[in-house]
Amino acid sequence: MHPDLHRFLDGELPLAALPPELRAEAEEWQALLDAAAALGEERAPASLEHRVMAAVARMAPPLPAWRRLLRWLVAPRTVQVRPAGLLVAAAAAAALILVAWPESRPPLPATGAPGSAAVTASAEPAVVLVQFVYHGGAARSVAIAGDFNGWDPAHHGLRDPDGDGIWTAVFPVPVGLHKYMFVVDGERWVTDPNAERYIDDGFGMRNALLSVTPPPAPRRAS
Amino acid sequence: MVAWRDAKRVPSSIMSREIAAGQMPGDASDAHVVAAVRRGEREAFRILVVRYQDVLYRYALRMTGQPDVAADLAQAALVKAYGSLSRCRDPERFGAWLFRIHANGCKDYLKSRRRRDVSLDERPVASAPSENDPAAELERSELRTLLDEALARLPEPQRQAFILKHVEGRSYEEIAELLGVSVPALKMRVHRAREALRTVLEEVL
Repeated sequence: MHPDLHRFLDGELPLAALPPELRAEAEEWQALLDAAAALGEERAPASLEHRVMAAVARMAPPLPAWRRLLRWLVAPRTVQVRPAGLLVAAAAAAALILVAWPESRPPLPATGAPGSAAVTASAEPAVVLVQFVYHGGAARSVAIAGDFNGWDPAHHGLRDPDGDGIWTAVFPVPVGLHKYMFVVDGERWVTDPNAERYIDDGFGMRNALLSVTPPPAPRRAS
Repeated sequence: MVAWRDAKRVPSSIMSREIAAGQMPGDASDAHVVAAVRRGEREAFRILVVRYQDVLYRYALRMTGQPDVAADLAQAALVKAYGSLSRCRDPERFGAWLFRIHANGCKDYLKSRRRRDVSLDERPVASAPSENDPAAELERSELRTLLDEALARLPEPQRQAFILKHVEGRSYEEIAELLGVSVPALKMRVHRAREALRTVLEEVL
């Protein structure tokens, strides 16, 4: 095709500007393109709108991804669980907790009691009676404060009835690892010098550590 | 910016029905309608369906030559657009986005049809003559049928360019943006399509 014919069909050149020998061909092309343009008058079938909207009605609304996720999270749904699978999952979760949270493990057995905290079994397995002993010399009062009593010495005083400077008391302490200090004369915080282990208290002093273990199971009579 | 819509063909009854129902008016911008649909107003999507169904159908009809397939492809494109509406990054250009979905759908269909070895010669007559001036209309109808058959023989990129230019009457700038090609490259496709069309028509005639 002559380049001017393309320019005419592209609307860049009027028919009159074409060389006379091209005009007949240009008119034929124009008729053909008019027929092509008439194809552009065709309409979609009347049922198409209904079909599309019916299909759309069966679909979830086009929400953003975060809203779809939120909707999925809050929507109630039925979950089918096999009991055996549930047991396995529970066992796995318990194992994971024990691994990830060491304090949830049963505490190590106390190695004797050379220190001031002697452990005695109580009737309640989760709580053990512990005897605290303070050798501090002259004092008007001695009390114990630890994480097992909310660091409140008010109701955990030790006694020295014979005035020999040895203060003692027995308190129930939950099984586990605990931090504590003695409070002397209501104002002086003293680290137990006979504790087995210590840990910094974050204020420049050290807390004594007390490991309370469950009592051993009673032996059966043979 | 391409305003790929066919507003002049939206039946006025549709617009007045939407307005009377207290819903979004039929002449609301694409961006407004898309925002309403994204808010959960599913029925607002009908405005977009009415606005674009004809142009989608015609394009698919020219590309495939089969009215039933064209309607199915147009429906598939609209439904897919609805399902993916949250990913339409520029709602103002919803029409161009929708057309790309549709063009890809048509392309996939044509590929699968080639795999099934269905002859392009088995194309139905595209349109029937109207009752006004039956003789002249019959002649135009025959010409359209001939044109449809000739178009079916063009390579797909040339057919696509020719349809958008001469059937849909879009400017080169609009088509170039829709297809993601340069205007000179697009002009070359249309010119080649005309050359090929002339060759095909000479064979047929």
